[in-house]
Amino acid sequence: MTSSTNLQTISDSSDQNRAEREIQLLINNTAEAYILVDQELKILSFNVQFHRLYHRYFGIDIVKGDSILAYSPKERRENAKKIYSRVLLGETVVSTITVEHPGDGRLHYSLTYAPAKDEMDQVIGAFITAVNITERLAQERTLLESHQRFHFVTKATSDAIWDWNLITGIVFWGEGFHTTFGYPKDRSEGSAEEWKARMHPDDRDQVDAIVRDAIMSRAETVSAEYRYRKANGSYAIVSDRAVIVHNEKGEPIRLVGAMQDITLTKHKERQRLLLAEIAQISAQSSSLQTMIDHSLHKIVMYGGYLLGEIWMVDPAEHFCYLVSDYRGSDAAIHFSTSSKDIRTFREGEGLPGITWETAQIQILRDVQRDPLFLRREAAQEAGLHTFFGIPLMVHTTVVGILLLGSTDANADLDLLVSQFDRVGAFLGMEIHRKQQEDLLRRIAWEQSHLVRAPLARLLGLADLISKGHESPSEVDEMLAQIVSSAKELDHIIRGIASSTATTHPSSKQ
Amino acid sequence: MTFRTLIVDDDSIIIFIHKKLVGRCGFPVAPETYLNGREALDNLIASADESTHSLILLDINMPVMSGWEFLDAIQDQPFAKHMKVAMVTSSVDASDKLKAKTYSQVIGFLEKPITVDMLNDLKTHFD
Repeated sequence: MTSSTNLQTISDSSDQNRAEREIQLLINNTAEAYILVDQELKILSFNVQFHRLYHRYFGIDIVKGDSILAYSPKERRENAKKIYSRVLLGETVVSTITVEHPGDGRLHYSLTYAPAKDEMDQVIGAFITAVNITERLAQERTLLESHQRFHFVTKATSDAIWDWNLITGIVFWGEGFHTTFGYPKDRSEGSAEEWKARMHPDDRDQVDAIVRDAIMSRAETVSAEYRYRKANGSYAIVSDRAVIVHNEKGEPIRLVGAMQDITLTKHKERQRLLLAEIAQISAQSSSLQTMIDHSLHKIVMYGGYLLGEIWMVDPAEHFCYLVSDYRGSDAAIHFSTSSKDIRTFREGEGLPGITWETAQIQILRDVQRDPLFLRREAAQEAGLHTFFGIPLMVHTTVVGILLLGSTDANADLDLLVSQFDRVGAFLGMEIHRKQQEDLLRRIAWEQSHLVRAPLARLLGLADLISKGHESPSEVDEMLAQIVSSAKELDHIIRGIASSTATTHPSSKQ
Repeated sequence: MTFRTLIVDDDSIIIFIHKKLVGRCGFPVAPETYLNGREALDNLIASADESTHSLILLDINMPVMSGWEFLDAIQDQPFAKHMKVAMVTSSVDASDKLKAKTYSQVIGFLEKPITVDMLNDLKTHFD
């Protein structure tokens, strides 16, 4: 019997029939396929979907009164028997079957075997529903894969991935927040306010404005560069790029972004610019002192420090002495004034001496209390917390020390190194070059002056004699002066020759 | 009006040569000679006034008082009014030449040894 004749049958009019007809309509129009069997597993009823299902995939027309087991493939029959016996005892069993059809491909059905009960709650048979779950399974798999992919991506990338739900205000963050910024792994979500609070106060309003503008203008992406506080309190420079997710009404509902720590790149870029500026200062400065003063000013400004000092190692390497200081505030002036008695350091003594001895960038984080820092009282009065020592190198020799003072108590050594790893060697070489230039100029002038003095006499005397106006006694006197001047000149030239011999690199002496 | 010629140099042979040359160029009076700026200054303060016209051949590098220090010291003196100075040095430095321009009395910058031609050229400033 087909479902269409079934429908025909119940269209006969009577109240009873009409109610049955409505039920039949209902069950024939649901998405599920169903079949009802009695306790002997004889088929009592089924809807058109179930009929179609069997017809299409097994090529069988189901007939009322047949045993349902007759329609099970042989290899599944024993299993089916077990399921029915459990169901008839009151249990509900769920299983899935997979069917294939050349036109539909592979389909998955969820089968629910539920006990059918009468008004007295007695089990009178089994009610089986079949639901096509092919699409749902595919969606679930896609979702699972996408979840896994997200998880792996946040693990694999050094970027900090975040997902901000604009409706709930909750921000989820990936593992990057642990690996990049040092925040604990145990939490992976929090409020947007908490997250925003880590932005540098000077950048927060600007970033807010950029995001607001992007949302208002219905942009699909938004990006910004700003400083973000790390767990250790220092700030990283980040490049943050996000996608704005809209709902079907076009309203923004989520922001999914990736923050990249670009601090090192930024510092290298800025350091390159600083070195170029120092080179320019060096080329334009008429003296070593001007060059040092201007370079120091530039360096202090570059790092936003409060104070900078340059100490030079004396040629005999007995001590280093202050040659230039730059004070960026009243507090820094106060520091210099109250520590003005300390003008030299020996190797290994104080921060300049330690930097000199180790030839490495040094950082003292608590200069107000650190016994290594000899000017700690002055630092305390000026409110300075951190000092950096950067060796100025010529090849492997420390020729000077650059000292920088800061009120920042959270200074990071790695960041400092990334800002200054090339400055020490560059400035050291520039100072050395300038020193040589100055020295050479002085030597050249002094020597030409020394040589010119007796030479001028010789020329003057020769000129007088050649005019022939002088008496013989006067000529004799002038000849004597010529001899003494010539001897003086000879002496000077020998002196110059011996002094260049001791400094000339290829000298055998 | 009185006219004076002063040779200020710490090198006695240079003084000897310059003295001879000044004599040959027909300057009206015999030159006075001093071994440093201080000696010349003391003498001028004691014996010169507003009406004194003078030419000074002034060496730069001298002990006690250098040529520059001498120039700084005479600025407010009455005899500076009619004083003309030729800086004389054994080696000319560009920065010295620039510095010399800041003194109104300086009329020339000569490298040793000076010659009759140089002195004749200086004379034109007194015509």
